[in-house]
Amino acid sequence: MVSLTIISLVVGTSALAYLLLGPAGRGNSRLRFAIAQATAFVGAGVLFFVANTVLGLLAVLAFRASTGQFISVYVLNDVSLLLLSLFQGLVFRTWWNH
Amino acid sequence: VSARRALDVVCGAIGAASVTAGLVLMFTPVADAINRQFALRPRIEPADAIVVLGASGVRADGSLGNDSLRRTMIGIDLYRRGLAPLIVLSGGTNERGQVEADVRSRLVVASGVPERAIATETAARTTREEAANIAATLAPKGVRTILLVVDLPGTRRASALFERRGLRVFPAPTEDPDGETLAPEHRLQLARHLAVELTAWSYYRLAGHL
Repeated sequence: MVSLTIISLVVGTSALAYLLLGPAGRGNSRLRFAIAQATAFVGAGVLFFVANTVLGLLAVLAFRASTGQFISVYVLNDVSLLLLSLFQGLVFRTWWNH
Repeated sequence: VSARRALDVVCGAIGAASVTAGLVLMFTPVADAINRQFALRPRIEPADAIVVLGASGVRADGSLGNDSLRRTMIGIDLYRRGLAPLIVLSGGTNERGQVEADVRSRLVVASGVPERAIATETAARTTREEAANIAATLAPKGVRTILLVVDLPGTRRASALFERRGLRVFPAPTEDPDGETLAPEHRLQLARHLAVELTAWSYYRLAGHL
C-alpha cells in the first residue's frame, strides 16, 4: 500500500510536470537527454561513494595498525556519507562538462 | 573530449544500474530474499547460556538504543522460558562513559532475572573480540552450548566466530526470517544493513577470522 501510494504520487507529479513543461518546445528527445544526465549524476555520486568508503576503510585499518588505537569501521556507516558523495558527484560532473 | 565522453558513459551506466537496483530494492522483496539466503535459521532450544551481543549502545538519556533493547528483551524472554540458566550481556563504553552491558544488566535485573544468573562483557570492541572474551568467560563455567542473540543478517558471522572458539551455537535472531519487510524505507534499511554485514563477513573471511 505504501509502495503503491509513493509510486502513484511520483508518476502523477511527473505526468503533471510533463504536461505543464512539455509543450514549451521541449520534446521527448530532450526528456531522454535529461534522464541520461540525471543518471550520470547519480553514477558520479556512486563512484565518489565507493571511493569515500574504500578510502575510509583503508584509513581506519591503517590507523589501527600504525597507532594501536581503535576506531570502529562503523564510523563510515552513516547516511551523510552517501548524501555528501552524491553532492560531490553533482558538483564534479557539472564542472567536467562546463 | 574522448576521456570526458568515456567518463560520461561510465557514470551513465553506473547511475542507471544504481537507480534500477534502488528501485528493485525499494519496491520488491529482494532484500528479504537475500537476507533469508544469507542468514542462519533460528534454532531455539535449551543451552548452557544465552549470549546477547552488543548493538546500538546507550542513548544520551541513558536508555538503550533500539537494537540493543530488542536484543536484551529477547535474551530476557529466552531466560524466562527456562532455555538457559545464565545470560551474558555484552556492550562496551561509549564516548559519554555509558556502559551498554551495565544498562542492559539493570534492565534484566528489573525484569526479575537474578543477578547471579547474569554475566557482562564490557571490554570487547568488535564481534570477534566479543566471541573471544565471552568464550574465555564461559569456559571455566563449563558452558558448551549457547543461544546467540543477534540481528538476523549477523547470525552467520557471529555464529562462526563463537564456533571457532569451541562453542556450539544455536542462533536466536531478533527478526523472523520468514517475515516480509513492506515499506520501501524499511526495505532500503534492510538492504543497507545487509550490505554492511556482507562487507564485514567478507573482510572477516579475507582476514582469516572465519
